[in-house]
Amino acid sequence: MPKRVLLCLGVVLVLAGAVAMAQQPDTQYHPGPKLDPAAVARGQKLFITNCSFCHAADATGASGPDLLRSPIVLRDQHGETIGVVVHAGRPGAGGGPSMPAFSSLTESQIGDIAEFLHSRVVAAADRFDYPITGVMTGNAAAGAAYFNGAGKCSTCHTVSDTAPGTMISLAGIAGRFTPPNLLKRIAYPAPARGAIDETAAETVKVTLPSGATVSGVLIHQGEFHVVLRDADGWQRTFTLGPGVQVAVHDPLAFHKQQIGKYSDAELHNLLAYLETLK
Amino acid sequence: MKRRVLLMLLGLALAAASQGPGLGLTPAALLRPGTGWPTYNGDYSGQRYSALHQITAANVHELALAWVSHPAARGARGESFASTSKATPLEVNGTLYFSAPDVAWAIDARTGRERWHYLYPPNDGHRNGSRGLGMLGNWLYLVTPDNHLVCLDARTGKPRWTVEIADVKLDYFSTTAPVIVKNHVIVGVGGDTLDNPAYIESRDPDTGELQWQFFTEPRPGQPGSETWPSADAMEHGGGMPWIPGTYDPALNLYYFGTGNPNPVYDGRSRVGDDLWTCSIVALNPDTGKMAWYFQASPHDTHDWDAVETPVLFNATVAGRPRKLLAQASRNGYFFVLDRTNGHHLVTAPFITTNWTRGIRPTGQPQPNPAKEPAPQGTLVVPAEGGGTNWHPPAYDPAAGLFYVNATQEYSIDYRTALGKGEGYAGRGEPVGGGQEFTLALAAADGHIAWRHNGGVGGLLATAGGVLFTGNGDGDLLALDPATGKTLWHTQAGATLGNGPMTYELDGRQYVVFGVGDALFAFYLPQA
Repeated sequence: MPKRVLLCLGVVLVLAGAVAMAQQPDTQYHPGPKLDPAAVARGQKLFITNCSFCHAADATGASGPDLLRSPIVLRDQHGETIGVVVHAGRPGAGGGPSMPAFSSLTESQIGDIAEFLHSRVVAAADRFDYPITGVMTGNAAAGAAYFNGAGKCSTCHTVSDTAPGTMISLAGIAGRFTPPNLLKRIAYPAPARGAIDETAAETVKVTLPSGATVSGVLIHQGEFHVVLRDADGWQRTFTLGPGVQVAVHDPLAFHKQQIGKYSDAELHNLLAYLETLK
Repeated sequence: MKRRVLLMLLGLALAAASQGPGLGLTPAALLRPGTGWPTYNGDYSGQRYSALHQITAANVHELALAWVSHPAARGARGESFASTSKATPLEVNGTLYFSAPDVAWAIDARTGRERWHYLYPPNDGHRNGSRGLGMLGNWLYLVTPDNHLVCLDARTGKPRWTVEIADVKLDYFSTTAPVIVKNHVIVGVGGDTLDNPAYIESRDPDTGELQWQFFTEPRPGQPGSETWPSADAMEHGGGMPWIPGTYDPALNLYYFGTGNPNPVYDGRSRVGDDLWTCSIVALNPDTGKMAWYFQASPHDTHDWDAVETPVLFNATVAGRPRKLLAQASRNGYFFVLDRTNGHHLVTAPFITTNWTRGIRPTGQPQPNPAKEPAPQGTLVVPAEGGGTNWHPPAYDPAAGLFYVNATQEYSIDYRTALGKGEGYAGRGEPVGGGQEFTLALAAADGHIAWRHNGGVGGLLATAGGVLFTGNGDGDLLALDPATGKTLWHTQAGATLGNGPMTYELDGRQYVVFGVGDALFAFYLPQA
């Protein structure tokens, strides 16, 4: 009887665990326990003092091995396997220098060093958190010349606050996008996000077999249907077929053609120029 | 008590050993699939061409829903079939077998009703997907997110044994469908988050015991090592073979593709071609020894795995009958090789690309160093997802055409690592506005015979003269394989996730699509 109760409890616990895991977002790419930032900070100081001479301050290795690629580090959780090596030292691998024993480091200090190393592994493993830092290499003057000349940007865009007619102002655009996102938008200003999207919306005119026409903002164009939003704000769907004509106007058509023509230098010069338009 | 248990176990073992495959899968059926679909690709060739021809170009517009199945079980972290419906079901003697991360299912191929499901315990593996199961005799083979190979009883879903194929703590994860060749269960590992060596290996189908391993990087001093600057770079060079391969029984060669080298977006620490990453490799499946290789992307720095299915077919090229292998590769190029020796016949781009400086005499595109990822960003096409990706292509021997769902999109590729590169060491930022389409490529010279806008998911060619696929709007499509013209379509409510497959039961041909959280089966109305 007690055995059965225990089993039951076991099942309940396992189920509870499964539910808890299901709700936990899978944000940390590298498998392992969640990190404690305070322990990471303490561990980094200890690592720099004691370990960085051989393993480099970022733990990617110097005369000693790269610890981000160390199976001992990767299999460790809270210092239990790292600690064995730190306390005992190691003979050098492949004729390399041997590692002395660091016997004075306490268990809790080793736990902190382990936490720092695991934070380095997590940072290497999650590419979506990598900072993009070197994007600004262009020449703003060359960018301005391209904008007003060979790039033909000034045909549709102005940099002044007021845009006459169908012109689109880019004034202040550098304040609305980070440099990497602005660079993307220079290459192709995909609709969906940002303040200038309404002007980038595709419009469509559908001509029905009767000759009647309906126009609006293109919501969706598939192989079998086209969906538009009319002037009153209603979405309307038309089934494509004989006698139904669809004419799409894409204000980004020029950008679609241009993307294959930019050199990397032209894109970066344009970025440098637009970054002056805060 | 103990003795009784032992005797019982012995009895069970004897009973299992004395039984033939029954409704299981004989090795002969693996060579001649007939009316079923016993492997990931339907047969060993990877053509995804079925000889079934009840559904034809003339009657496909009559297709009716046979059943819809919503595989209900969820994996240990709550993943359903929906989140990762990448598996192509097997069909063997009236049962469909398929998987999602941590889950295997058997459902009735006539009704879609579940026969059983198997749930693998909670684990730390990355849940990228599960491409399906391998089968031999009464046994199914499943790989798990945390890199275990599980052998299941196909009658009950009960596990028979479990072995570890790679260490999840080192950031390996597994998604492949095991491929059975004779008495070998062949599996490859995945995971390029950190800088691990990659391998495929063979396991004994009865015991799970390791038979051989093939590493996708050479050892120091071996041929190929001259394409790496150091033993350290080779040891951490990636090249994960994460897609099921194909097999030529006459040549006794197993063909598979290898993934990108590591660090992924940073080539500075691995100057050279980085063999055998981004390559098509031919192995002897009995020994794991390499017969030949062809590198699709020398020194890749854009995450363009060359793992896409190497499709085997015979055709006459320049007046000579040839044994061929074709791959539409993630780098945007279509390759046709002589599969007896790996010599290249065709290298042709199937989308616009901007990363090469021409083609080497041996057929490899020569990467342009100016298009390597850089801290300031480099405009590159194709984007990170590639000109195509893992979704299975198809080949129609009657038309001589190779079908692939392709994507044309630019991205800005960054090397973010300023010091030593680790793991991805950068990333691609797609700029948007990408286009998807189904392409028909002529096997003889790679020219684009037709293009149908909107192709998404895998492809299935059939002897009925019907090509099945899907599009980004959630339409399931039947196309004319000769022209790309739409013959039939229906709205399924989500995009096609897997490769469509087909089988015949009770004289009726079924076509099954994995869409969202469901499998949809269609057939012709009874006359």
